[in-house]
Amino acid sequence: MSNRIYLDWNATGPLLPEVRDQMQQALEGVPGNASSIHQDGQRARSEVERARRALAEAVGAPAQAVVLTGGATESNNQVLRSHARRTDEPRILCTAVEHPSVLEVVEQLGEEGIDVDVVPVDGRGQPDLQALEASLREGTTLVSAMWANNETGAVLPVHEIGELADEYGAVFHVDGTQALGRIPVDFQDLGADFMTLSAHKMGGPKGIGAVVCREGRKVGPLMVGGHQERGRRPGTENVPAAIGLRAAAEAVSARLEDWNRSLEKRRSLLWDALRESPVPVELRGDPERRLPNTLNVAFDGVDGEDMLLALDLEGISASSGSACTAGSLEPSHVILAMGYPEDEARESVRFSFGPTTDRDAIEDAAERILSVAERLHGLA
Amino acid sequence: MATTPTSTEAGTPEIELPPVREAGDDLGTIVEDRVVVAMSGGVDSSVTAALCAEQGHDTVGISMRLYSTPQDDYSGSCCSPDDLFDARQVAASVDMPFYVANYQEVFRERVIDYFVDEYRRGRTPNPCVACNNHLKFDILLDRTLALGSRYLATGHYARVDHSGDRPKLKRGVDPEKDQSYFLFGIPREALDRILFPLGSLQKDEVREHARRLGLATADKPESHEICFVGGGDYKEYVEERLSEKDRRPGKIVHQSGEVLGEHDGIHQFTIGQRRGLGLSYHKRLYVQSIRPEDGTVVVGPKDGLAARGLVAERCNWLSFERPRGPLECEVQIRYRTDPVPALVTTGDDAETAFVEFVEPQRAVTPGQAAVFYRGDEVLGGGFIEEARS
Repeated sequence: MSNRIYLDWNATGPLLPEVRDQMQQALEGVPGNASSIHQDGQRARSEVERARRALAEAVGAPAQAVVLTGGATESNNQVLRSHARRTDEPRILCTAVEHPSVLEVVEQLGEEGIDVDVVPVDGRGQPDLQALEASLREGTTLVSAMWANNETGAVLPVHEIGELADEYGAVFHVDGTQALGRIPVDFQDLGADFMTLSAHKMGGPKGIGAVVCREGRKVGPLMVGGHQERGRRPGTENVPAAIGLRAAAEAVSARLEDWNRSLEKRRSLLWDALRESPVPVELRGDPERRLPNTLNVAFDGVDGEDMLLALDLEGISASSGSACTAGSLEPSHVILAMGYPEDEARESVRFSFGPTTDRDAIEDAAERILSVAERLHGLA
Repeated sequence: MATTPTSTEAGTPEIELPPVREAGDDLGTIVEDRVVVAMSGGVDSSVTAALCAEQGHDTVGISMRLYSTPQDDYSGSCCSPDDLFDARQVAASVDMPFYVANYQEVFRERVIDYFVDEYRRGRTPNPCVACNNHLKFDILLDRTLALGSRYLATGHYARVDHSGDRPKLKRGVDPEKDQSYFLFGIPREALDRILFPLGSLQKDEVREHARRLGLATADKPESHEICFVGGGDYKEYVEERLSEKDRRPGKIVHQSGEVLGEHDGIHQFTIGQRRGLGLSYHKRLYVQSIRPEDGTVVVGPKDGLAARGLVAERCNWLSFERPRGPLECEVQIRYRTDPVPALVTTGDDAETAFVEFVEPQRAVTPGQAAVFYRGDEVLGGGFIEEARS
């Protein structure tokens, strides 16, 4: 269908035009292996290093801090597993609203006999800092918290959590995947030990991400069999993806302020339109500290999955939460953690957009969403 | 079969959306001309979807994920990843939206648990009927409204005649493929929303359409097994799901009263079964009845005891709310057997039917469906509770 409106940027976004152009050139013109000695290899190496620098610059970190990986899921697995392996008596803590690539690793480590803990959140999706501190007092060695939540857009108090972790001498990991390209991300200022990132939520390609490491912090590899990324990520470097990552990171550095401002306007526009609905509609997440590009809403008595299919037929791509859990019957663990009962949790629908989502698209989308919500509410 | 079609229309069946009989019920919620097609990934539902799309209907495909197959099991029947991919590919090739709906939980409760439980009780379940009643023509039909469609089309070989003042469920014209036996449980008021475009076609013609339309599933083999059991043996499947205390061992007894042997669970038997009795006897023996109370399995010769009637429970009526007085009709007590003349009377609530055969019948099997026909038309049906002699 033409005239589709894409409102699922938190799952993944389309490539920015400059990213696509640069990657196309790379696919045609950079054949070498970045570890090879010849000139084709050197060209590839220089592209990988340029990407590292561009990303480092976008997040306020030195270039040596950046380990390029296959994406945020891999990065999260790597940071947590590496910590568990390298620490005497590890005790790992995360919030109840983390992405499955953190939460399930923590669960798995727990099953493997490591001490783990999950901190509850309140109705806005914000972690209980007292519980977090209590857990730190009991000897937690690593705290993992996301900068911004993928489902509700809630921005967590990562600076405060970082200070707490610091006070108790725990390692602090921040999953910055959903924050990058939406709000200012400054690694130095954050004071975390590790930050994990992905390229494809901000207009870059899928299949590349990073672990950013504070000076003096070591992260071991998940796999073995190659010395790449200074022994921290074996496997031939993905040069075209690195080039795409660079272009996206450069765009973030140059345009974040504009993006942030316009995304916020789009979000207000959409919410102002949706709240006019004759069907009672609820905003989920933190109404104050939140991403400018994400709206999680629930229309009274309307099943989220029905809503998504009906919206899709009207040309709107949206989601009910993490694409990693979609297609299962389970309601979102994030919404459940916020205290909603199962049937209400199933009503959540997430709209998320990006820098290329324009005003007209939002206005058009709002009309379609309202008509679908009204129709489905009528069936309920 | 009682009815053999005298002629079949070669060519393409015209898929007309039935008229809305009760105006104003849900018109506001409906997208005009939209049809949801249940797609299993097989050739029949693929052709159904492609024909709907070809005729210009706003067609939406939906596959039900009913159970998960282990990653290392490549045997694929419906609902395997391969089948979902086939359905998706067909949908893409005719440019229609396609979704997978996850109904594993309700399938487990309403079909798999029922299936195992019936064998546990010494009965012979009919999982296809259960799936039609509780999934396809219940939750999936409900789902069509959310998708803005009043209509659900499936690839069953049966027909709904929408021409008269009430819809009639009829046999498919291909006597080899007719599936109306499995469809008696459709709610009467839903018939007007259901389309069976293949009901007027022969299987060969369906294959021809598949090739003409260039569908990826055109040459896919038929699947006959019980889908969730896969290629395996259903007895093993049931056994794996029965706890030790649910196995009912007992004696195998000849109808004359002679004890011939023992067995370790009635779930291994079905009425009419000959193989796997584990007996040596100078004549062929068939299972005649199963007594769950004490675990006894009664065997005898093929032309053993015939029943003069049966009791059917949980009846659903399609041609009327309930029969007015005794009903002369034909009853079919198994898939792929001929219907036989009978007189049917109903209990107070019309959910219980007492069937008297004109000629006594063998192999009346509790758990199977008794479906009532008049000529081509399905009047209703229910589940066989017991044989009456």
